[in-house]
Amino acid sequence: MPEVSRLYTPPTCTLEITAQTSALSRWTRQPVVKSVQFLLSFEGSPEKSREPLEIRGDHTQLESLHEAVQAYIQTVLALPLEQSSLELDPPDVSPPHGEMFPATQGVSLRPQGLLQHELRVGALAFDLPIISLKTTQLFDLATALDAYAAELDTLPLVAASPRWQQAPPTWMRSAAAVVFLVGISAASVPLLQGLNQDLEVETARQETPPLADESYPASVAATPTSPLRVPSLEPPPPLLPSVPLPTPALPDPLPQPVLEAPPAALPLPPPVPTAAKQTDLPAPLVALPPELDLQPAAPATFERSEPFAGNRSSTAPSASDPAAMRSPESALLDVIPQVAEARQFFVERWQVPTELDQTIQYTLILNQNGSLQGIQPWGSTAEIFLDRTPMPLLNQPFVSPLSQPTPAHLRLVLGADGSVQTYMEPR
Amino acid sequence: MEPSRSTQTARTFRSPPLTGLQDPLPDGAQLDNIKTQIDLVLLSLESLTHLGSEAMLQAAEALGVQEMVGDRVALWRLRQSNPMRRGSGGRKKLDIEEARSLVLMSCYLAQEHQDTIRDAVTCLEELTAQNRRPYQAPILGDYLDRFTNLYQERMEEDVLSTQDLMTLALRLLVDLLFYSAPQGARRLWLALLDRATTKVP
Repeated sequence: MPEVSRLYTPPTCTLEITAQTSALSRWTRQPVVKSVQFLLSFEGSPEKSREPLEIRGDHTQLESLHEAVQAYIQTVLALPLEQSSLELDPPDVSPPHGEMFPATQGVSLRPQGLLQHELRVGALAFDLPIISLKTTQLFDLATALDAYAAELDTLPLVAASPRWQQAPPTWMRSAAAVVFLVGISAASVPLLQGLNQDLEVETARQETPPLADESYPASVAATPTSPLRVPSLEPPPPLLPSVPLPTPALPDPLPQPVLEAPPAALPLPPPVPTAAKQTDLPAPLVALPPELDLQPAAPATFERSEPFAGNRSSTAPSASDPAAMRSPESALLDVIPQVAEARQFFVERWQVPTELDQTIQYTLILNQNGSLQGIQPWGSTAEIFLDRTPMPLLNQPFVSPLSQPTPAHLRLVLGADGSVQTYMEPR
Repeated sequence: MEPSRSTQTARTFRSPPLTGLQDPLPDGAQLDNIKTQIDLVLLSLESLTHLGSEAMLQAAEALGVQEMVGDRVALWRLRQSNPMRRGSGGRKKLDIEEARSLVLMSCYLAQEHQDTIRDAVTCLEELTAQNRRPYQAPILGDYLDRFTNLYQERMEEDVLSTQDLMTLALRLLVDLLFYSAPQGARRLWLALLDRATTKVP
């Protein structure tokens, strides 16, 4: 099995990544790797030994290290400028901010003055449980880890086999969805010739499912649980406006993923989703509604929804508007009304930026009161364009309150063609 | 198998647009705090790299934020929004788009001058390890002198002692290094939000 290696070499440390390329890479635009291992080495201290300090570990440990470094740097930067613990000379005693620097799976950092940082790596290096880093070393370490994480976007991870069985990773779910979609397309062809029933349209101008988002691995053809055969990939003939579609047999529901809450000190999670989070987050394609929009050029036709709770912007529908009293069109996966309300919100506001040439997706986490608790961009493109979407502010009125006590996770798909799609993410 | 080497450092990247800007925004007093802190970051950059308003305007153009910072007058008015500025009292109300622009410009310029920032921080580390004072290195001595002069020239009087000013200048210098990374703009923005509820010296 071929290996993939990456070497990140900022001035004071070296991060070497090795992984195996999965055979599934043949089906994807980017290589799929597994069994990630890393070797991190710092240059030796001049006044002591010249021997480099080395830390080895696997993917999970590397993610822990990355998360700990990211969180620590942000916490230190957020300290008030007059913070006494960040004076030049290291304090004689431990700084009084220990509780501010919690460990991430045994990895933690603490400041030792302005220019020294104590990295505790725990089980990563039994002989070197504590490593003292200068600020420039910490900066280089963060740079290497960020570069690795950025490249991981194009190197989707495959979890080790025990975890595979517990939570299928992103690419696997995507693969299942692709098989499903191909099957749907093929199955639609004969049906188009004899059947003519109305379809329920559930998205605004949805032409294609968001397969092109480069933050996800592309299609994978074989999934053991898929009952669908893959016929030729000839594009189906033009579809009539009203065509029935069968409800396909989907593979068994996937286990509910876990979305980690961002650190309390940070209003948003890190911009580049770590591999662990990618593994934990649900794949976008599996959750696509089973019906397809067969009106590719149809403009958005949603009516205004009933007024949402709380204050809205001036563009929000007024209660006096008759159209505002009608519910937005719903989709099969509009499990809760807030899905349609969120869709309505973005249909009214989504203006495609000139530079955007692909679909972008976000996971929206709703508070019980209907406001946004968090936003998780999917991929770097979504992250870059976040501030050009009409995304509401966190904790501000957005949709009507949930009937459930737990937060709801919605997927928002914004197309470069102006389309808007929302649906519940499987939990 | 020979690993593919990635020697790229932060300088090969460009700071992406901020992603934390959808967070709840601070109230007026907190926004004043943000104005002050952005101005101090730019003051630190000016002191270290001697860059002027022309470089800032070029950064604004490169980042496509000319609408916010189109000319020297607009830049001056934005920076005068710092309530600690001498005689200004925050006369210009800084809105969130303008704050975004200044954050992006600050980190863009920090990235452009990452070598200088890193040299200064490395020098500070070496001097501190030798129990020597920062003024003993030319790059740091010049930086501290210029920072102190600019601060006293522009800010209200009797706010900070000389020692406090040196501590502030060195803290800003170290922070600049992290703002010069690809994640710098996001780091700065989140730090500003976190610090918005705290008092600035």
